[in-house]
Formats: sequence, C-alpha cells, structure tokens
Amino acid sequence: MISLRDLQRDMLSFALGDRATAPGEWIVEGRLCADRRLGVYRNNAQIVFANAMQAAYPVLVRLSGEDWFNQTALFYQRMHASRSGDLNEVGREFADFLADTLQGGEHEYFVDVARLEWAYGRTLNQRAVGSPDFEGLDTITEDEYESLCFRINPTASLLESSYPTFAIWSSNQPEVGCPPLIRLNQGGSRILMIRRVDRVDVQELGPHAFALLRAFADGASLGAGFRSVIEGVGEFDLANVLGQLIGVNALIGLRRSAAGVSRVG
Amino acid sequence: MSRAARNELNPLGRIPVSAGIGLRTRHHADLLQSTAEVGWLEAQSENYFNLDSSAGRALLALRERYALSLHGVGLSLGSTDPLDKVHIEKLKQLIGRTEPALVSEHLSWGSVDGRFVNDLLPLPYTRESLRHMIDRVDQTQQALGRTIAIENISAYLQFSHSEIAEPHFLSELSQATGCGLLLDINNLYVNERNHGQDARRFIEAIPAQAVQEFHLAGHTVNSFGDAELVIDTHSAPVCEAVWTLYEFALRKIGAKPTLIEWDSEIPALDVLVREADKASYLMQRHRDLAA
Repeated sequence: MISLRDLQRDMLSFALGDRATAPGEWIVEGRLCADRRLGVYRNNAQIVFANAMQAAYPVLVRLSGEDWFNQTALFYQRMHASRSGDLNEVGREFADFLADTLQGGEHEYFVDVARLEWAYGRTLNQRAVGSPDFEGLDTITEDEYESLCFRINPTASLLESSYPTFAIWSSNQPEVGCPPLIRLNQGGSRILMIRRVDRVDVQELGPHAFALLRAFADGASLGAGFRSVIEGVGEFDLANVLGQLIGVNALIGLRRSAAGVSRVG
Repeated sequence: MSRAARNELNPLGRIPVSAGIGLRTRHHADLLQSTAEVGWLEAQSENYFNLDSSAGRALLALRERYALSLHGVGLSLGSTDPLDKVHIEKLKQLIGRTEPALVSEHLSWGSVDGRFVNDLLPLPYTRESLRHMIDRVDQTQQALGRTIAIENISAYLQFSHSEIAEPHFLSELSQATGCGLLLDINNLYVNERNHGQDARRFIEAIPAQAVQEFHLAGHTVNSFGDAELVIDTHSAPVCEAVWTLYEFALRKIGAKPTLIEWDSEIPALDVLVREADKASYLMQRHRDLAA
C-alpha cells in the first residue's frame, strides 16, 4: 500500500501540473477516470491561485488584460507554487519573475508596476503609526544639526523606477474610467508609500526629497544626508525638503541613530 | 490529553444555537451599518490574520456585536509536512484578539514538500491517516491552547485503499483528541451524489455530542458526458435536498449552531439573512416538535 506521504506527493504533483497523468492506481474511478477526478483539484488550484494573483495585482490585470495575466500567473505558479496556506502570501516573487520574462521587451514596465502593487499590499497590511513627535526640536543647537538623526515612519516604502510607474498606477485605479495616454519615455518615478489609518498614501517625491529620505534610511545623519544629496543630485533647500518629508509623515521624530525603511526598487 | 485537560483548553463558551452567516468582505459595511438579525458570524481565519488591515478592523468592530467562529482553510492538517508553525502562530494571535467561541479546520490536506494547492484535498481513510490526524489535531490543540472542531469535506475522488468508513474515522479522531466535529450537510449531500456514500447513515454514525456546528451551502453540478460530478462551490442557495437532510440531522443530532456559507457569486446580505432565517425556522420547528 502506498504511504500517505507518497500519495500526497503524487497527487500534488498532478494538481500543480508537474506530471501529466493522474496517479490512478489508488483512485476509485467509477464513471469518471482518475484524471478527470483529480483534474477538479488541478482546476481549483489554478483558479484559486489566479484569483489570489488578481487580488494582489489589480492594476497589472487592467494593463495586460485578464487572459494574458491569468496565463502568466499560471506559468508563475509552475515555478513558484504557493508556499503558504495563507493566500495573501501568493505573488511575492512575481515582480522578479516578470523581470526575467519581460526584460528589454515592450512590457518591461510591468515589472515596476508589480513591485509597486506588492509593496502597496504589504503597506496596507501594516498598522499606521501615531502622530509625529518632534518634541525637543526647539532645544537643539546649531552645533547638533550635523549629527541629528530622524525617525522614519516604519510603514514607509520607497520605489524608484525608470518608467512613469506612479502615473501608470494612479491612472489605472478602479475609479478612473478611461486612463489617459502615458508615454513610457516621459520620465521615471520616485515613489513613497505610507500607511495612514484609513488608507495607503502613494505619492511621488522630487529627486532631492527622495534622495534625502533614502540617505536617512541608510543611516545618514542630517549633515551626512545633506551632503550626499548635494553631491548626487545637486543644490537644494534643506528646510523646504525636510518640511515636506515631515508633512507627508515620512519623518516622525528624532533619534540618536537612523532606522531603516523598506526599499522595493 | 486527559478529558479534564481538554475541557480546560476550551474556556471561551459557545456559539448561540442559532443560524449564522459566513462573513465576507462584501458585507462588512452592510453589517456594520445595519442591525441585521444574524445569530453569529463565521470568519475565514486566513482572511483576518492581519487585524491592522481594513478587513481586520471591520472584524474587530463586528466582534463587538456578534458571537464569532473562526474557520480555517489553510492549515493543511492532514499534510505529512511538519505543521506550519508560522500559520499556527498567526491563528493563535487572531484567536487571542478576537476570542472566538469556536475554531474549526478540515479533515483534509493541501500541501506537501512546502508547496500548497490552497484547496481541501481528501485523505485516504486508513489507520496510518487516522494516527497522523490524531497526532496533528493534538499538536494543533496544544499549540493553540484550546480544542478545535474538524469538518468533513466534499470529495471528488475516493481511495481504493481506504479501510475505515469516514464517520467512524471522524468519531475515532474526536474520541482520541477531544476535538469537536463540524458537520457540513452540503458536503454529505455532494459525497452521496458523487460516490453513493449514504448521507443519512453517516449522520446516524456520528456521535451527536461531538457535533458543535452544522454548515449549509450551495453547490453546482458539472457534467462530463453521461457522468456528473457535484462540486462544492458555495455559489448558490441551499438546495431542497440539503434542507431535507438538515432536518434529518436536526432529528438525529439535535439543534446546533448552523452556518450559511456563500463564498462565490456572493449575493446581497439580505439573501444570506433569508437563508439563515430558514435554518432558524427549521431549528425552532425541531424544538417545538421535540417539546
């Protein structure tokens, strides 16, 4: 008699498409053959997986069309079967899979849209932080500015794309009836995502604000971050950019050493 | 585990013996804004693992007003892989925050070698499977610090090497682990149509005192030439034959908390409430006849 483990391996490999014929010797066929009976589970596995992928990547579905998306999702499933009983985990490696598949082609921009959508879903599943706390800011002396460090909102994610990914994503939300024409060569995106109590804010940052926030995320102090942005991007108004980052809740307080922020691109 | 220890594991009381509905995202706002007369709610555990999500916040708000049952589909209890500790921990956290009166899973598996099909696959009813399930339910109950209920599933195949009738398999599992049973009446009907498994004999063979909940749902029929297969889609009203079988279960087992499940092609809330009303009516009629 086949062991339970071997039986499960045989059944699962058929359900996930690794093997073409069902392990029929252990299945009572009756009026339907084993392939047909096990085919129900294969069909279910594909539908459930495609539905979970559609839920994670709604903008990609809209951009690519349901047929292309479902077919691609099933190719992806063959290589990256679900690793959890929690369907919210399905699709974690999809952007990397698309990068391997679409690199250099006309749909290469799907990769960054996928990165944005996955990061959006992760951000949505985080708890919003309370109000910013800059108590003590007025007591800091000029001598301390150089070594000053900021606390970064732990729900913040940064994504940089050479495509206009923010425009593509925001123009393909359900409430937008007919998306405007977006030229893929119109310039890249620097995107910040932050969890608010009732939503996720997705917004574009200018090059200086993005570079400064990234520098802080990498552990830079105010002085070091300021210099790195000037060196990498150019002169800018530090007070104005800091005000912007505090205003969008990216910087939420002061600290002695900098904390990390998620990077998704 | 001793009987006394099992009782200590289940301190959270009971679901009211009335009709409840499966909680679906589509109905969150309606339920939060309305005073729908629903006895209790059953949430699919995995959908609420993150209580910081908007769905999670809705569940916490609804928990203030309704008794709650948590029903898992992703634990893959019957798998021969090690039990997924991350999944168990998420479930434990959810239980801690929502204090459900009932926690349930399935007599099924859905993964091996770390790969999941995210579906409920049947087990062969062998001595090996029974020992395995007893061990897994014991482990789960120990990890969660409470008892769970195990549901019979719809199956689209049977195994030639099964050696124990399914109701006896479930009875022995319940007896050995102290777990409750969740009897899905639609699944009994589906299996009767698909395999000729006698649903009434199944109900008669189940220890009534172990049954903690009934499930009712709709199904669809797929035709393959001159053969057909009934699929447990939860996409339609409960059919008359299942209502009749439910009345039989009420007579043999008694009134138990009864859930209307509807998971795809989900209708408006009032349609679900009407289905729940029908279950409540049948429960009351059973009580009146028994009095």
